[in-house]
Amino acid sequence: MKGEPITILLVEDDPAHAEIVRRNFEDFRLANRLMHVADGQDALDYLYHRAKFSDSKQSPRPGLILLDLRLPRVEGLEVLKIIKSDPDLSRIPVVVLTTSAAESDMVKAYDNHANSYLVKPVDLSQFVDMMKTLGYYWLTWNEYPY
Amino acid sequence: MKIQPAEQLSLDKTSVMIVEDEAIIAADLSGKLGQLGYQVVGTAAEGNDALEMACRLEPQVVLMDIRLRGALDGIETAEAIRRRIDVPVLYLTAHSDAATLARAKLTGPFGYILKPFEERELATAIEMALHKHQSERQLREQREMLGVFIEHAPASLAMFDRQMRYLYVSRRWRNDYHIGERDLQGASHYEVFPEISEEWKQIHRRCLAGEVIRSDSDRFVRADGSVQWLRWEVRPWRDARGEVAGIVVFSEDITERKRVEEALKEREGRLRRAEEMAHLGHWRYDLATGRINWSDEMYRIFGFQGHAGPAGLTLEEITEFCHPDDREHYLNAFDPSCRHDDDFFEYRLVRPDGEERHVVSKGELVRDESGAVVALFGTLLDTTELRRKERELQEKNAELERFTYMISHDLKSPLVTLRTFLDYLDKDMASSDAGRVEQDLYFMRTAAERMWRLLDELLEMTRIGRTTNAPERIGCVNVVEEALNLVAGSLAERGVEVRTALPAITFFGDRPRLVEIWQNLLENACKFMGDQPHPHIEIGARGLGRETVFFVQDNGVGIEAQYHEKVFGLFEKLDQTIEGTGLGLALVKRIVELNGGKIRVESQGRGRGTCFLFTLPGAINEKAKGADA
Repeated sequence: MKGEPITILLVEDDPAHAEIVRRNFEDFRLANRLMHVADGQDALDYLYHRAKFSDSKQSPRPGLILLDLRLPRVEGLEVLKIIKSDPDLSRIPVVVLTTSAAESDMVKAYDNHANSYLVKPVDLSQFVDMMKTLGYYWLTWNEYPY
Repeated sequence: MKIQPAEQLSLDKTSVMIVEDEAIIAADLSGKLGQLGYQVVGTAAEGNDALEMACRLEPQVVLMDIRLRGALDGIETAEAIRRRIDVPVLYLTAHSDAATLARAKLTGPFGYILKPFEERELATAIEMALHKHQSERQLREQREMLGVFIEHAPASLAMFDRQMRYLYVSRRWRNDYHIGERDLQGASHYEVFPEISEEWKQIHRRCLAGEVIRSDSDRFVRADGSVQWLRWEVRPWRDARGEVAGIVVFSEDITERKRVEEALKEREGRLRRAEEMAHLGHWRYDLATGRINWSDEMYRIFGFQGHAGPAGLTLEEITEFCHPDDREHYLNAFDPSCRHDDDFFEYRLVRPDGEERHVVSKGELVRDESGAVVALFGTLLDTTELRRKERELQEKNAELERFTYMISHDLKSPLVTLRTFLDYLDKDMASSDAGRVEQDLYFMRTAAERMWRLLDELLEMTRIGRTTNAPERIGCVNVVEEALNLVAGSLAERGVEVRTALPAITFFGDRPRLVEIWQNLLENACKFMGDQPHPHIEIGARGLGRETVFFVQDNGVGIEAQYHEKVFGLFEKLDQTIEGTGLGLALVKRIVELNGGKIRVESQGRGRGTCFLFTLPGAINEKAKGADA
């Protein structure tokens, strides 16, 4: 990790699931870096500093995006496609975090250059494990070409 | 008896034989004939000698003295000769008493020469006799020919005189009318067939008066009940003066041909119907003429106006119908060099009215006896409907896939919440963190409620189309009233003002489902009122009968254009902050479609209200109309 602490953008429509992720990051004392939006449109507005996110100080560029696939208004895959086809955003690692273990979803996600695909575990301890590993991997070890 | 020596005979002179018992006269006659350029081949003085000589020499003319000494006189001799050979006999006579002349007349003489005679008279009489004899022979031959011709004509043919007596009849006529070998010469048709109808006698009379009457196919029921088809013609024939001398009757038994024709027509009809039912036409492309002949169904498939007839169509004419993108591929179907008999060609047609049809054409080479390719013969199947069904099935499959996917996702999601927060609850209770415990319970409760509602609506969704309530007659106004009662709580809570203006339409359909349409649309409108200070909903209808368009208009948050299609999708939720499972509008769409209707949404965008418009033709049917009356 170097310089500025990383902002993590969580795109999650289910408030309960968002709360789980938040609590995990809280345990890592990273909760203050976690930005949460509830649908695809808001995610794009956040990334492009539009609408209610027009103040770029309030919407810092994320170093990691946790993206659910089933999202209202704009689908997760659509958001992924837009991020990965925009040279300004394409290098931001996008980790798909979803309940869907459907093969078709995985294929579509990787075809659209998702950096990782994670299925939400039904068990808390597994969820915590996953979050911990995810945190270490992406926030500690992974190098970003800024 | 004198016979001219053979070396003196000349072939180009007419040979004459003289029968004369007075030697002086005979010699004088012979001399005169010689001078006239005739060849006297022999002279006989007595009847029997004359007969023998005539048979041996076969002269072209015989000059016969009526009075002969001996057993036979001239008349008797002439009769005997005529019976043996065909030769004209001229009588020579000095006197002519009536009795003798009358007797001579019966032998069919070719002339009389009165003694004494001049040379010129002699020559004229001989030439006339020769000419008459020649004409008679020709006539006889012609009659003979006509007889043979008619006898063996491959048709039923009979010739009658004015009294309907048989003149000539063909063998076929004898067979067809079971006359056998009976001699018909001079017999009347009406004697031969006493049962002949007055109708036919009438036809005979009209033809004897000069008319020609014919029928191309006439149905006769025979005595045994079997049906016979005849083609016949009756026409008059005329004598030398142009008077009608009788009639000719021609008839042909066409029963077999008729039967074949009927069978062919029947088969053609069946083929046509089969092609119509299967949307399968057939065609033939003649390589020599470059023209294409179509079956009737081909014209229908192409939407071709009119019919090209047996001349067929040119390749250019029908290429016009081919979709421009498929033209090259399509022309391959008509190229004998690049086709294999197992190949089929798929392409699109554009009908004159612009309608696009999908077809599959299959063809094979037609060869003549020498094995040369002379034509292409093929079928063409209109697959438009099949394709549409296939596409529908694909759509249904895709929907089913989406459905199962959504179920697994949407049911799993609250389960993740439940289990995870259950674990949190454990921990938080152990650490006595009351605030967290309350939060944990809240999330769990919400998740459980969500699961319950989801299952409930899913069940409802699957019931639509599967289980139906008995259709009943109910006024449109009553349906909406029922729906309003069901959502009264939500309306009151949000303070929504509702205005209804509905026509006196009576539905005949599944009442609870119809109520669900308005119930869901009203609930939806309540949910998406946003911060509207004066929320109101307008319920109404436009148009007439089955075309009636119902609408539910609100002044709530509205829907942006890009979501207009999406709102009806299963589990689609545009706004996660709003309670709901994303099934309500999908449910409405399904009910509308089950009633043969369509639904769409109109909205000027976010914050500008929403209007749902839909039709229900299936519920506005004849039975519903009956109730109005």
